[in-house]
Amino acid sequence: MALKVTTELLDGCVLGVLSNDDYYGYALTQKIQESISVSSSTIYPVMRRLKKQGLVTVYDSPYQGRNRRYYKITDDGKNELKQIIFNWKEFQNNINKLMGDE
Amino acid sequence: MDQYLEKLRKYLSKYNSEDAESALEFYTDYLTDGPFSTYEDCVNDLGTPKFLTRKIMAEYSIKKNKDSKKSRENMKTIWLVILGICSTPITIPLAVMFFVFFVIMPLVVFISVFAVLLSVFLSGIAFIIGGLRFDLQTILMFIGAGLVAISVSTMLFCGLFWISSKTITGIKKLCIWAYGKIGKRKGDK
Repeated sequence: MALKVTTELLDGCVLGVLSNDDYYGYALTQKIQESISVSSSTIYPVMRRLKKQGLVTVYDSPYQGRNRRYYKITDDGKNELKQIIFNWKEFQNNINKLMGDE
Repeated sequence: MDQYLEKLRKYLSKYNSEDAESALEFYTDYLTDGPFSTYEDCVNDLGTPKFLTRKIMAEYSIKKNKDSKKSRENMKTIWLVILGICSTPITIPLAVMFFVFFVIMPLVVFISVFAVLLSVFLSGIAFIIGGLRFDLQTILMFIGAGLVAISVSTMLFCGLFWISSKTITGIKKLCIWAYGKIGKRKGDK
């Protein structure tokens, strides 16, 4: 995708992915990169921010003799996601109005 | 992979923050889970350990200092952002320009104004002392002139520091903005 994804949209994408299932860092990065082009190094700052805002929580789960850290969306995170989706739809409609919707 | 993490640990350890530890945990997990066996694999995905460290710390510092008004913290942000900008070869000339305009030039202006004010202040003192060997009227005149010089320069000192701190805050904001522009362009490709 050629267009740049803003911070808020990236937050929305991460929260959207986590609203379906819990993910660990690598799998989450892969999942995001399947659809949009962001560098791997941008995901960590996003997770740190979301965690600090209480939109996601982490837990450790044993995997092959070590602990793997999983990210889980919180209720606040789900509300935030609704808000971002709402903003995105409004934005999308307005852009479509201007550009013409195919 | 271990070599990559070792280097990352080394660079992050310079910053001595709990955030460095959590970043290291994240990337240890990340690299262990992904198909990264050699050092080159890691660099291809995340950039060099130095680049990654700058990216982690620059964004950390921007976030932390967004509302802070402390000049020392601000200077640190400016430095980290300049280092962050330096981490791609294309932007080095830009970074040099940044450095000259926003670090060297304000510093030179600050030092020269400071020197002028200091000399006015000292000449005020010299006036008072130097005037003492004349008759009473002249002594009073010299003391008056000296006190004026001292008070005016003291007031201007306060003004200078106030303007300096405003300038540093302004430059910090500019740096954050520039980092957003440049960082996005090179970071998200």
